[in-house]
Amino acid sequence: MALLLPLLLTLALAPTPEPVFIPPELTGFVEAERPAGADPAAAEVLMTIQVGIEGEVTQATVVQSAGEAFDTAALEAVRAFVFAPATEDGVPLPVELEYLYVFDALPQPEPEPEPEAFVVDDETDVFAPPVEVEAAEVTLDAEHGERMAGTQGDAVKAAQTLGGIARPPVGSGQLVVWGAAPSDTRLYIDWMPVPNLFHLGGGRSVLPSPTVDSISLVPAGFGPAYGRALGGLVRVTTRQPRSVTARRRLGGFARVDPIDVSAGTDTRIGDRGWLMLSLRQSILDRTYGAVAGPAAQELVPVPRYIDYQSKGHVQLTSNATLELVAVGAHDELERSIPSLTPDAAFTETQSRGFHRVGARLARTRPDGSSFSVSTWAGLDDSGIAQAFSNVDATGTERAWRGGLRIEERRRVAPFLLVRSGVDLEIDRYKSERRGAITLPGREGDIGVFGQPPGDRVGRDSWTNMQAGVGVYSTLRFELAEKRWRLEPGLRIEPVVVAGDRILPVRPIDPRVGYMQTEVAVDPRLRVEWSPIPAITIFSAGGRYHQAARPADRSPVFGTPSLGLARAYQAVAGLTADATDWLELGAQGFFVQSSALAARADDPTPPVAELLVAEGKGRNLGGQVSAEARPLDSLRARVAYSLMRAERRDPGGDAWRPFDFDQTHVLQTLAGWSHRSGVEVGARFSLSSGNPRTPVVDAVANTTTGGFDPVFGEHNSTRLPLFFSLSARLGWGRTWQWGTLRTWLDVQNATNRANAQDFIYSSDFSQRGTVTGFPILPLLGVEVRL
Amino acid sequence: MTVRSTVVMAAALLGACVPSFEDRPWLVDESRVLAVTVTPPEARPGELVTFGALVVDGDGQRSDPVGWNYCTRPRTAGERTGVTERCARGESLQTVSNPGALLPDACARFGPNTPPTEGDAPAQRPADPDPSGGYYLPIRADVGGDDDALAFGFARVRCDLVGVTRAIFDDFEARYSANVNPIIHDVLYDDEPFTTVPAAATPGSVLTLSVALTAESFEDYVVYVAADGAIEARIETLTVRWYVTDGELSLGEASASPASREASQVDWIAPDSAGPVSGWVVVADDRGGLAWRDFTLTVQ
Repeated sequence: MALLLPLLLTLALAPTPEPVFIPPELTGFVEAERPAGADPAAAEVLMTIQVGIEGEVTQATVVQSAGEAFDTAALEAVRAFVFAPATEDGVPLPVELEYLYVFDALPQPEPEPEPEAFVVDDETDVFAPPVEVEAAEVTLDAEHGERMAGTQGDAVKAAQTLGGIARPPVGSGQLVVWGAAPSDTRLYIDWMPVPNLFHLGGGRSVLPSPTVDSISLVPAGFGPAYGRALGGLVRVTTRQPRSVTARRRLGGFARVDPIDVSAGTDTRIGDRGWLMLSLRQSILDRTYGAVAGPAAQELVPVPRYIDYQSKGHVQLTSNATLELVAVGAHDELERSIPSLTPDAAFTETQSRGFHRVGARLARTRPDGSSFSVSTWAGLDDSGIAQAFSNVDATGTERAWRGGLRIEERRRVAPFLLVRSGVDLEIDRYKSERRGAITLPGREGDIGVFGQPPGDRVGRDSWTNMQAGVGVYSTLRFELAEKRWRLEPGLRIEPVVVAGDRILPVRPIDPRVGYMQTEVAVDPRLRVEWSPIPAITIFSAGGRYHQAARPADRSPVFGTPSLGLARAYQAVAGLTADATDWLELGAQGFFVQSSALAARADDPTPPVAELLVAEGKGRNLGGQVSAEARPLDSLRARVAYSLMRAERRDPGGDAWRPFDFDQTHVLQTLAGWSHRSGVEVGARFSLSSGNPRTPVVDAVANTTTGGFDPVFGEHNSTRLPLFFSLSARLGWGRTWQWGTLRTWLDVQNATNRANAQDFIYSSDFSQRGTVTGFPILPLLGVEVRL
Repeated sequence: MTVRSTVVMAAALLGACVPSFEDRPWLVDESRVLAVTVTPPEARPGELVTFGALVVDGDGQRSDPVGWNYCTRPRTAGERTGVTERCARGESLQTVSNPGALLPDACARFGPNTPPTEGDAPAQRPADPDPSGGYYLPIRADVGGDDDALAFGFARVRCDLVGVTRAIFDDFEARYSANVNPIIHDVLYDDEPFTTVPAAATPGSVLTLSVALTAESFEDYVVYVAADGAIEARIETLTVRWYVTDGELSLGEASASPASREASQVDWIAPDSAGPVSGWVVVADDRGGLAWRDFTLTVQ
């Protein structure tokens, strides 16, 4: 009893024990299915769940959402969870608890390794063919060019904004470089000369921007590797197809705006080959036709064109490449305009095209030496048919052309690089012309806008062949740690011209052909000095020659025996990197030309000598430029040129302004891009008006029933100043699959009525101006893969 | 085709904007020469021709004395106008009486004959023909010293074919007929001839003018095409030009058709003020021939 009482007291006085709670234990986890298409990042869904006495989930509620898709998936999984039930003192209890379900982030795909361009041997260095830069050369990359305001997304058109290029006549697309006639500047696509870079009407170049890598302009003073031009060089380099396919085997682009639609592909072929194909067709006749009535379609000529480009690149070895290029374009333009009188309607049909195929093999060495062989062949075609009241004019020209260039650059000493080569070109032309002898018009013709061509007519068909074999060599001395570069060169080119007729056709005369040979010896020199790395002072020049145009070799409309025209060019200037974001340039030039083909002053010239090689020219001027890139997203450029281009006609002593002379040419551009993809740009152009010959009087011509103008001094007046402001707003974005871009380009945003020519009343007593295009907005869209 | 219509077309070719002028070439409100006629309109070098000039002003036709000159210097290759700069300025002229003989060397100076050379000078280029195969001697008509009434016409010179075979030459000579001036049979208003019914109109009313030509006015002729070495047969086309001293014309120039008068029709809108209105119609063929007739409209 005595032991029980203490036990009872102990038991009576001991504290009551706490109940033992054991929380539920998850014994059956269920994986939630990650929603398809959901963000690959991690996601968390916080829920409250109720667990019953059997361990089942009786209720689940989202407390913190990660989005409907994730919430649904988490709830579905949680509701299938199995728990060991919570217990208290061994008795199962229903409980409520919070549960956080975590969806892990999806793993990022490993980037594809850059494919090896070649696997030949242990050598892994690739030596790119050296790019020869001429003394006064300016290069514009296509990416910036197509984003310039006023170019409607056309990279080649941006070349017209380069300093020293005169504003082309409206609708022509011609390039007047430092006072040289458009036909005096040689145009190239890669290594192949082409007759034109713009489609009829001048609104579009012959190459879609996605196929262009860069455009370079050499206004004068180019080296002896090039010839056959008194003016400058414009070279458009097509893009290498490999650059787009670095990540994938197949790429491409598609672009559309109201003017045309284009598309292309880039394909990797094997491990060493790449191929680019593209095609473009105009749609302006459909887009403009859809909004303009029939009368407007008659009045505004709408060109139709198609162009194509293909380029294959093969990396033969680590230091040898093969390029194959095929390009071409075809244009047609028709206008049929009713007249005020039934028998005087005007009609005109124009067609023009060129096709080129070429191959270039280049091999380079580690010391900078190289050897290349390039060849090309092509067909040029043009035709025009015009009907002016009682005078018709038709003309066709077809040319088969081809060329071969073999060139070697060899470093013969640490300070001496020798560049030598042979530049062969053969052209065969077949031409026909019928109609007014004053057509086509020539530089120096005096007339007024819309003047009929005159009533004297002729007819002829002729064939001629021109061949030139230019042998050239340059010695490049690099002295004083390459701060001095002295580059004398020489180009010797025998030119052979042959034709089927030296005299006009007459039934009683035999058909007599001709052949003549001239040898042009053209010394060239280039000197450069860099007193400090940021400054380069240069000078270049020499003698240049150019053969007469085949169209001028008709014995009826021209002179078959025209010889080579010649020019002396000199250019000097400097470029300076004022800061790491500001580049300055200044240059002056002088060009003197002689033996230019011009109309004979004599009303009765010798037979088959309607043109004489007695014209002279002189161009003098200077140019300053500045380009600023303070930020990667901001760039601006300004170029101003002051020049005077003059001609002296046969039989005259006085110099008169060249028909395309523009004393002042100012181009300013600015562009800014935001990381959101928005791009904004503007371009301001100011240039002098072209010269014109004033009408000082008029006399009645009772045979025509009208008045014939009496002209004042040749090119003694000018059109008003030309001013244009263009603006561009664009947007682009790049995703994994490719890039989407769109833009709105507004040409002549101020809607200024710029004068294109003078126009007179029927009796020439009143004068007005013909104004050009009004404000012209253009919306474009492009996708690149 | 008038210069103005050509200008409008050319401007339209460029999609450009063309200003409008107060341009009514058919309105005679000052001294003008509307036609210079040569009779016969085509003759051989040295043959006699008679010149005539239709001189008018806002009061009607004038009978001023006219001084006649030949332009002796041909056009250079680049000159598009029919009248050379020198001739317009009064240079390179040779006075001629009326009637007067065409220049004896007209075919060498303005035609297909090789121009004369001296010594060992190379053969000179002969002139190029117009689309009708013709060559023309320019004529300058100075009206009584009135500079405003200076005008030019052209005499078609009949030259032999050069550089052809004998067969072509003979065939051409047999088939060719020299040009004659068109013959105006009647000038009509609302299909009524002016010669029989005086024309009267109320202010603002519209009369339709037309001209009736003889069938012979639409002459057949041949052209030698050197490039083909062949002779082509053609038919003349005629142009009708209207002039008035007041009112408005719907057109200054129309064509003529051998089949009907409708092609030559123009509408004349009578002015607001009453009184006589003088008018002239000049008909030109495409080989340099001209004819004219006057008429009078009365606004009542």
